[in-house]
Amino acid sequence: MKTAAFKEAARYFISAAGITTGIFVLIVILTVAEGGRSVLKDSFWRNGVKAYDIELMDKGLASDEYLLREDGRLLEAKMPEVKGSIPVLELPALLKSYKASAAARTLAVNEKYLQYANLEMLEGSFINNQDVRSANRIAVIDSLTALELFGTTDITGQKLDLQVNGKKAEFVVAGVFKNFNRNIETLFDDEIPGMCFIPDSVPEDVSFDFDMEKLIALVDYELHKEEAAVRLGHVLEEEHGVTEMYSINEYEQLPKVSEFTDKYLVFAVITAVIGLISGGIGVMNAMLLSIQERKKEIGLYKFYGSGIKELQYDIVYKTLIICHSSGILGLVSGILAGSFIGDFIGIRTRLTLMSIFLTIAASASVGILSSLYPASRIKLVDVSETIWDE
Amino acid sequence: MIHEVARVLIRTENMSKSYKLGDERKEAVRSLDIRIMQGEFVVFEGLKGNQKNAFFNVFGCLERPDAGKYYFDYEDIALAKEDMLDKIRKNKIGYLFRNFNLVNRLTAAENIEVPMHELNISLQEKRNRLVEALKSLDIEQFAGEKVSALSDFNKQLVSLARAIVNNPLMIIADEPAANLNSKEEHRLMEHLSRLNGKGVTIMLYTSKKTVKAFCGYRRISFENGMLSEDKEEYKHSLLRREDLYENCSI
Repeated sequence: MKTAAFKEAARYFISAAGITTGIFVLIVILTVAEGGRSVLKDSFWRNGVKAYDIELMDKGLASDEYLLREDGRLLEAKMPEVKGSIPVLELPALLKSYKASAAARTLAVNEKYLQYANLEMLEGSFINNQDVRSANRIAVIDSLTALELFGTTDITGQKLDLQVNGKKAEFVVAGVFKNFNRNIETLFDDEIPGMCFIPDSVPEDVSFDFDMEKLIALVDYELHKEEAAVRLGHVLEEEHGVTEMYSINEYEQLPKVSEFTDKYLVFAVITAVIGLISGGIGVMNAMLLSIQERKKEIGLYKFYGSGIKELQYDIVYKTLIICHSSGILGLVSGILAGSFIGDFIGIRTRLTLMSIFLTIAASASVGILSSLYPASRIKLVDVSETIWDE
Repeated sequence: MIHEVARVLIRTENMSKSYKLGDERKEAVRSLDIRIMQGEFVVFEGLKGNQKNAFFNVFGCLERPDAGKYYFDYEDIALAKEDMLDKIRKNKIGYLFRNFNLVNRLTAAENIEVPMHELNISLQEKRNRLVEALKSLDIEQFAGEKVSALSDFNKQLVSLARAIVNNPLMIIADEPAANLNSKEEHRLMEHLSRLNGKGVTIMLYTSKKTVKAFCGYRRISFENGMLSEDKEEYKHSLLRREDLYENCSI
């Protein structure tokens, strides 16, 4: 009897495997996406400022004429709503340690960039105000680049050469950060270069070639988006004597995560829906088979005019339990797999109450929908056919 | 469990019942006029397969007659609603089947309780009825056992306990001894006779001569769905037909 019960339970759970798979995929994607969002969302915006990226509309124009490092201070001086600025200078640099070399996207920034990009330091510290003022030759690199160059992330104080268009200078590693974007992207593409940050005052000091990639203005949160863009543009256009040259956009908080989420959430939802539908059909079939097997018993209950509702409820309860258990199995395995992936790409995954609610609601809906038809079949069992022998 | 004697339990007037065979409908019984008193032991003959099932479907109040009248305990079955039929089957009729019709995954006691589901009686009353049924057939010892583990005879006793648990007026027994040996058959018939002696009407369908020889009975035979013979063969029955019909109200 125990073996039969076990076989029956196993049959139901195999039938509901689609539900487990669907919920599993959905939860993995949701936990990773939520974790990613929370990484980027945190502290920067609590300081009461919004960031605006200011770039030249025509990338072909010489940025050293129309967008300068000093423009940040100009904006701060002319617009009281501008609470700070971050010049972002890009250098085509090659990084060399005593044992290896690696291409890395090198940006010269100031201390505020840490908050802007919401970087999480693993070792040492980010560039500080003093480093910028004194043009200290320090570098902060991401963990994967650190591993490529040194084989470890514990490299604070190590020396590093930066080579830009044939010019070379020695830097000291001040810190190592987790590169969330790169970690996610390396899951799907190995060709993403690493990241290196140096103080924005250094390129000029060492005579490195660089491009002014953009200027980030940190503007009072209260100032309306359109007004901020117009006023920032006016100040710069007035300063450089040009018109309609600047592209000014509010900084997208979660660009990479949104990209990741959009790309894979659709896949997750489609998988979940297919899984739930196939699981629902599977459970429905298992229930119909069970009714077929218990036809005599059902006939007998009907014969005595009793227990039909109980049998129908039994079908509904059983289906709900199977669907919920499969959903919870998918949820738990999804959380575990998400956490594993999170560890791998260096983010702490997060599960929202909404995800749990969605899982329960989805399994409950599938359970109820797939139990209705089998439950209705009970009424159609022919008593006369089942109780008499011939 | 003793019911008032001299009461017409079953009365049919020109009753007909058909059954479906493939796309066709065949007549099971035709123009049947019959009266059965409470406390009679009736043996039916001459009905086969679907014909017999259709006959018992009507007499067991599972289905209504196609034509004519069928009164069970003064209730017009042709006009009775489904829930009334359910109530009659549950409260007034017990059934014994050739194949027992027990739920294998349930225990003997749970099987006996099946006709008491949804009955408007207290749990204590249900318990009392169960204990009484078990005791009357001396099967308390395997009340807690799964019926799948029981012998055919014990299964039939459980089936009989289920049939009598609601103190029925009538028991319909369809080849109840088909799977039993002669000793078991004898014991089962003793139980049925004892119940009959207490006033329970027994409607037996059997092809076994040994069963028919066991006790006195009224034999009702059919030929091509028509009543062909209605004969008394009382040898040592506790109740005689003439006694039953004395003071008959209908």
